[in-house]
Amino acid sequence: MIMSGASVKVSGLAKSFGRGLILKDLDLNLKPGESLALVGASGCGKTTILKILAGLCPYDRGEVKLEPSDLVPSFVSQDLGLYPWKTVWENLELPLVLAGRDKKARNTKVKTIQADMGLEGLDGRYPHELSGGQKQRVALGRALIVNPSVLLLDEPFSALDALTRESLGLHLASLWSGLGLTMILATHSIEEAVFLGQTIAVLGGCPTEVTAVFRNPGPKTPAFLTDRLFLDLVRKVRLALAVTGGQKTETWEKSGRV
Amino acid sequence: MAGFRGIISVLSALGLWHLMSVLLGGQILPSPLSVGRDFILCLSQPYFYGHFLTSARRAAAGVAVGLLLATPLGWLMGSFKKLDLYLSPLLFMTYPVPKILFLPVLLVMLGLGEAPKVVLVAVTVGYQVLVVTRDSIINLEPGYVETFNGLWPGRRRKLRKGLALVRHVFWPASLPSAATALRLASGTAVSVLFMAESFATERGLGFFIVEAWGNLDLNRMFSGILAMGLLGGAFYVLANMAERKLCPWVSRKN
Repeated sequence: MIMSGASVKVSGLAKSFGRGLILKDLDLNLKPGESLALVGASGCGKTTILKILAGLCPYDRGEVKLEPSDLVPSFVSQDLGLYPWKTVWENLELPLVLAGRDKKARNTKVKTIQADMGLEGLDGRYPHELSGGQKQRVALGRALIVNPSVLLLDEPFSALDALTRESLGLHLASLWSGLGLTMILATHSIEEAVFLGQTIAVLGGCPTEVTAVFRNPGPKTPAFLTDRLFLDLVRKVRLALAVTGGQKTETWEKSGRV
Repeated sequence: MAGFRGIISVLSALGLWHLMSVLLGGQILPSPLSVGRDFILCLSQPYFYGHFLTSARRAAAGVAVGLLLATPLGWLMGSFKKLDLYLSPLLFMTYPVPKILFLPVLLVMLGLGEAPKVVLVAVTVGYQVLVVTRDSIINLEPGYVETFNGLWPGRRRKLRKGLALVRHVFWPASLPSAATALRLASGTAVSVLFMAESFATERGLGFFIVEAWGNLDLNRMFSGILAMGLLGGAFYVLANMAERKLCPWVSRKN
């Protein structure tokens, strides 16, 4: 599976729902193959940002640019969006069916993604017959099957137990580094954000803006989860979220720009 | 165990019937044994088969027409809000009206042939399927459509996208509700068919029952009622089988 990431440039993004301004002058800038974790309180607009990037939600002002523009982003929603009436195989195959790919190409691709995601032997199962981790793998597999340029993940592991979260986080990190795709994830989990994001953007304020940014140069390996740098970053992000209550401050090590 | 409980349930109903027959007298309510004997006798007569097959054909045609028209209309009303705004007031104004009231109108408009009976069954089934299908699309989790939009490649080809949305989301999402509506409607369909066949015709189980009633042949009348019940039951079983075949994710969940 060979993929290549796109660069993502968001500038001056603003979005309101009714009379309430949710996002104001949001800037994001990612080079191809980078990963960004958005972390913030519930309702701060993380999902809205991802939906705008996926082209699923209109915005009021600003610019969203993916380069090259013909590449497609794949979005995995918080509820995973698996169709209960489709089996694992059919859910995985669906993006290829919609793209008009022939049966032979679809079979080859689905088998490859099943092997990558550890989903062999589950072809005929329906989503309700899967564990939380297996569902998550199917949703990720379905997002990756079209060779996306950008992978957008909304609270990817929120419904999972701690052990499954960690194992899937490691799996995702190895997929991301192997595939070289650009990844943006929104999460409540500070540990998840710090582990998976090369850049961690803390969102806060009303309307939402980036209140602090942290860079994570650490490797995405199991050993990093106990590394001093990892624990230190977790502490800093937690402090940024807790102390400011999401309010922008000038004391953070980076300005509010990603 | 389930089969044993079923046998107990049927035997209890027959016992109650027999008890009522003894209490009321065989002239008013024949015993299940005498009705059973007569029913078996009827089964060997081509005359009875003819009536049974006529009713079965009318009911099947009505159910098929009702289903084929109501299901896509339900999808359209559920999918297009503007269309729904125009059609739903009409739907909900006419929904509570007993469909049997349309029979005289249909007889005047379509004559005394097969058409008014088939249309009456189709209208009865169609209303129930239409309401349920429309509601199942309106109440569809918004995430399903959003996921589909995310999976659809590109922004163009709106017609192809719409058809694919029906095929991969609306159709399977509405199937379990439509199957439930069909099960419920199967009983109602047979009831209205009885009314439609009770006059202005000489074919069908409705006519058979009314004729036997007129001749005070209660055993034959009850044989006809039993046959009509079996017809409704057959539709119920067929709807169940269709649901199991078309919605395996539901039957495996249950």
